[in-house]
Amino acid sequence: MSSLTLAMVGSGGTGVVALGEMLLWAAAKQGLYGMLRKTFGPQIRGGESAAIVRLGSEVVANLGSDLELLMVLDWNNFQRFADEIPLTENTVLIQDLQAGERPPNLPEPRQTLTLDFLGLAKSLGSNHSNIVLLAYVASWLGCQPEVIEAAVRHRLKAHEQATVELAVAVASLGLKLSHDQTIPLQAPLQAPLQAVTPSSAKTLNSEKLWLANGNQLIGLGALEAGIRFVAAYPITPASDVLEWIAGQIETVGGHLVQAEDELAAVNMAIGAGFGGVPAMTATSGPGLALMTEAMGLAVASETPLVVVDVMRGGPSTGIPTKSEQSDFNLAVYGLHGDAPHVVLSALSVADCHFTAGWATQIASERQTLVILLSDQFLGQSSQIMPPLAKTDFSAHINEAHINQAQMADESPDGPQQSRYFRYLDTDSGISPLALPGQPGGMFTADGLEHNAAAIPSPKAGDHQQQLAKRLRKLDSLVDTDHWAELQGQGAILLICWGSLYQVSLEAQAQLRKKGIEIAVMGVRLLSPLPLQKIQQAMQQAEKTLVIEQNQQGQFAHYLRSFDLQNVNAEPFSVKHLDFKHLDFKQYCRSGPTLFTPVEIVAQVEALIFESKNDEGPQ
Amino acid sequence: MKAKEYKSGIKPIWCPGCGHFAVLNAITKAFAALEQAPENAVLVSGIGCSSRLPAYINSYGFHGVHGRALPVAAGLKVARPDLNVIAMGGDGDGFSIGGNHFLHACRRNVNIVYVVMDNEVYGMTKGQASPTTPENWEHSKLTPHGPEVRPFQPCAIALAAGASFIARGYSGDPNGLARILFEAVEHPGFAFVHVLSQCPTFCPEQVQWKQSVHLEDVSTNDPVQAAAFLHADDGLAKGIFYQNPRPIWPVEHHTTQPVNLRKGFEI
Ligand SMILES: Cc1ncc(C[n+]2csc(CCOP(=O)(O)OP(=O)(O)O)c2C)c(N)n1
Ligand code: SF4
Ligand SMILES: [Mg+2]
Repeated sequence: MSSLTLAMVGSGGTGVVALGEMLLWAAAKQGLYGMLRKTFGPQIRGGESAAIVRLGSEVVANLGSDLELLMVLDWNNFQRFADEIPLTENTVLIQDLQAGERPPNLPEPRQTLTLDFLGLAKSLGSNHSNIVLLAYVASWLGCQPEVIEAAVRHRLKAHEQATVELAVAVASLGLKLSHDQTIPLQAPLQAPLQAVTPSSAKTLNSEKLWLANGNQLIGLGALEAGIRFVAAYPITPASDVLEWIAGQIETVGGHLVQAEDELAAVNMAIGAGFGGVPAMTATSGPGLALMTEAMGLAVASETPLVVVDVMRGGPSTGIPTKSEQSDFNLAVYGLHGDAPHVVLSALSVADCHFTAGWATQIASERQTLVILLSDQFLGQSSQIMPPLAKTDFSAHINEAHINQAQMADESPDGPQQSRYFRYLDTDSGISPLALPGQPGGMFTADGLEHNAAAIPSPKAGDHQQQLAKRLRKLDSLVDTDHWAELQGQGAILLICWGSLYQVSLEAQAQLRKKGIEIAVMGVRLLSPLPLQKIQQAMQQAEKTLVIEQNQQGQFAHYLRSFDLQNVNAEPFSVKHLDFKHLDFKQYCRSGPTLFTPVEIVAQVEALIFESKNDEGPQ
Repeated sequence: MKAKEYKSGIKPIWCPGCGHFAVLNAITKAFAALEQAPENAVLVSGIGCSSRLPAYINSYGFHGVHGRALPVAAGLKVARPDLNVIAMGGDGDGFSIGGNHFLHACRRNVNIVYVVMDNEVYGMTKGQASPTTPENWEHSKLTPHGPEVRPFQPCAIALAAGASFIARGYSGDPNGLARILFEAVEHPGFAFVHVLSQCPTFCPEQVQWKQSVHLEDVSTNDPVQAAAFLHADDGLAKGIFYQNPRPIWPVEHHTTQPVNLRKGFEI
């Protein structure tokens, strides 16, 4: 794939995020793919902001490594984003005449163009230098003038006619500027640019492309699979999951409640789930921490519940607006007691839709808690994509076999009447589930340990039986095909989860160009972990590298905690394993900077180099 | 169904003489009077001696975690408006750990009943002070000087927070309580029923309630009058104090026809 990455930076009011949105929209209309990441400073409104847009001839699912073009309307506070916007000697810089001084210590750009965008806007009485710049750059990229105008009109559709017309006029100045001043492009910028111009982009099929972010797609996946109750407490970066759903859920006959806090939100969802209405809540790290007690209740009472965690930098309030994969431990280990539950990770923006549907189905069919881990990058990056196929997932609640579950309570101190055996110890571990309103099914769901008839019981036998049942009902999950995505084969297996999967795929492609083949595994089912399958994949490679975006290597630690040697791996027999191959290396670092393909490539190459040295004379 | 047929047959864990028995009986009486179909009622509770009640009733029940009965009940009722949802628990459960939910349940006005069995103590954890314990009650090892904190005023706070039905019952008068519960279920909106429910184990002095409880069926729909009454209240008045129906939540927005959820993503 050829691609081009552009970043735009400005301070309060320069509208660089709007610029990024219009650019992406225009590119999509021209048949390009792309992705937009917005990043903000700590201010609520105004303040400095930045947008990064990567355009490509094929679906763009990560931001890549290089920045080809940097557009600066205002250098003020650029340093705040310097980490996220890696200006290199290969970057071409376009800056406004009035952008101020370029901060010292930045690498010298390949080429610098200083143009009077603001002056042009002002000549028409407007402040919208961002629109002049949009038209200038979009036209340079090959977008047709009508498309650029449409992008401006689309963006301003809620505004008054006069405002819109002024903006369109301002845009035409940018168009003119690009004709008057053809930028003498210097290699290697030229190549990707030409490749992504619409003439060479794949001609579109008749279906309209989508523009969506992961948070919205979690909402879509959940509603399509049957979620009909959502409880919400605002938190960055999860609020837009909830806000998207709020705008849709009534049209499908459901409800969203804004709760007083996360304790209320998760318990409301449990109440709805108990009533047989598939329910969900979405939050981020601090909210997930507050929800942990009630998540244990969902496990013990066997109430279907989906909790979405859009991860941000932690601990504590951390970095609310930036991405990190550091809630893994909380999601997997955060519950008190022995509380088996399901933890899933979404592997791309588009996969948020699939995994949310899967989470909804698992929660209902297994009558338990499913935590879905997404992150700020997936959640808040907009991506152009082909329309997503509908999934087959549905929150199907098994019709209770009420009569079958009705039986006499035979415990010596139990009452004599017949009871509904809500927590019947079945082979699958999944018990009959009556819903309120069903005659003959009455029971009291309980977080207190109970016996099969739902009567509170502290007896060892009941505790062991119910613990084993709740663990067993998740067993068969590891047999599903959805547990991971596995691409390619090679001497090195790269294991990752969540948003790192797409970055790893691009690293894989870059390595291939260098003649190095690797296998990439993105794990979707984090708990229960399909150990045998992971082990098989590890055996097929010589070395395994686990990567993740947290300081402590939380997933790697987890993987290490299993004694892989003792996993009975069919068809391989444990005795014949070469245990050395079950070791793995890990490369883990915190956010908020995103992983880049180049960074992963370097790690894989280092591992290969290390292996070669290992083989040398002792 | 007769009142006693609403009992589940599970033997309560309560101490002899515990006020919560009377609340259990009052609920069965109210259900009999309401001709409640057992499968359409759900009792939702938190944690505490009082919160064990749902298992003892022949209906659906949900025994959740400490302090969270109200959100579970609200979520259930919003999702399943066809059910008669009654939340319940103790004074510790409802006014301390669950205090925030109490305020917001009063103002949200979901159509549920909330019964708090107030014994002015944490019974289940063996006798610590609760938000309604008298300031100078010195019988807990945890607060040897007494809590030295002004007690919480549940009914006055419910009024200030927007509850549309406020009443108080007494475990020594299960018939009176049954009548209040009947009215609370019939009331459209959030109905708060505060019950003086004695704990003979940790607060034997509560036997005196028998002499001091007095009937005050103010039953006003005027919040100013109710406020005046509740601020002068000695805490031992029983009866329906305030009843003023207002629009319940959720407000139903009649959305036309199902929309295509996917349309908004197209460019
Ligand atoms: C999160 C949590 N904290 C503390 C407890 C311990 N605990 C159980 S019941 C209870 C107080 C119950 O008092 P109240 O609600 O007044 O009920 P009562 O027993 O008096 O009827 C406490 C503190 C708990 N179960 N969960
Ligand atoms: S401790 Fe008090 S509240 Fe608890 S059961 Fe005994 S008497 Fe009732
Ligand atoms: Mg109490």
